[in-house]
Amino acid sequence: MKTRITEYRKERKITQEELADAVNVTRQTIISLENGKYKASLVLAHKIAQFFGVTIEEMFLFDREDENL
Amino acid sequence: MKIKGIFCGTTAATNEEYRKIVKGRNKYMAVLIIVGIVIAAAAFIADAKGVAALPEYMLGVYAGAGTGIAVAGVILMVRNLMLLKDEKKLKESRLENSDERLSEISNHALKSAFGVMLIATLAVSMIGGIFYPILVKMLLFILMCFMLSYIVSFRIYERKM
Repeated sequence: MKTRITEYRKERKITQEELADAVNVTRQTIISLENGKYKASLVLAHKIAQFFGVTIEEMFLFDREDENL
Repeated sequence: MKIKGIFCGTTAATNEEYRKIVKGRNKYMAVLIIVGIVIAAAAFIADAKGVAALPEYMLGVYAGAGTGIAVAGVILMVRNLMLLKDEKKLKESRLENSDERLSEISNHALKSAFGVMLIATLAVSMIGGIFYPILVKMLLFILMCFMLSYIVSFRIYERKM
């Protein structure tokens, strides 16, 4: 799944470590999310979106075909 | 890279919550140490007094297993005590144990490891069963235990979710 975490993070000059601390996950999880290797749970997606003050849809880009939507 | 322990998952969101969980885990470690000491002591006493009609090899197995369990309990207890004294390490440990990605990896690894264990058990019982038929009975017992516990656990979690 594609996300805009890297974009928002760099725009606000936040490190992966800082974001990981804020949403209570390891830095490796943030790296995997940014690389699209891992799909966040609804709770984590909500935490990340809330941290940046955007909606989940703005932060996580759902592929209609991949997600069978 | 560290590997998350199978039984180490937690939902603690703060160090304070996690501190209580680690303290609770140390109680289990104390029980583990006692169980290990009891097993090893029983084997040593039985061996020394010649009261148990067990083969020498099995006495060695009990003594070794008991000592191993007790030593593992001590190591884990000391590690937990060290964690409790260091806020930074406590936080690292909390994140590793509560991280959802690591939990998912652990679940996948468990499934794979279980598959391998099942194949290995099957192979051992089928080949070993030629020489020792008891191995086939053992496999059936293990499979029945697994299926039963899986069905019971599934029903319990089905009601919860």
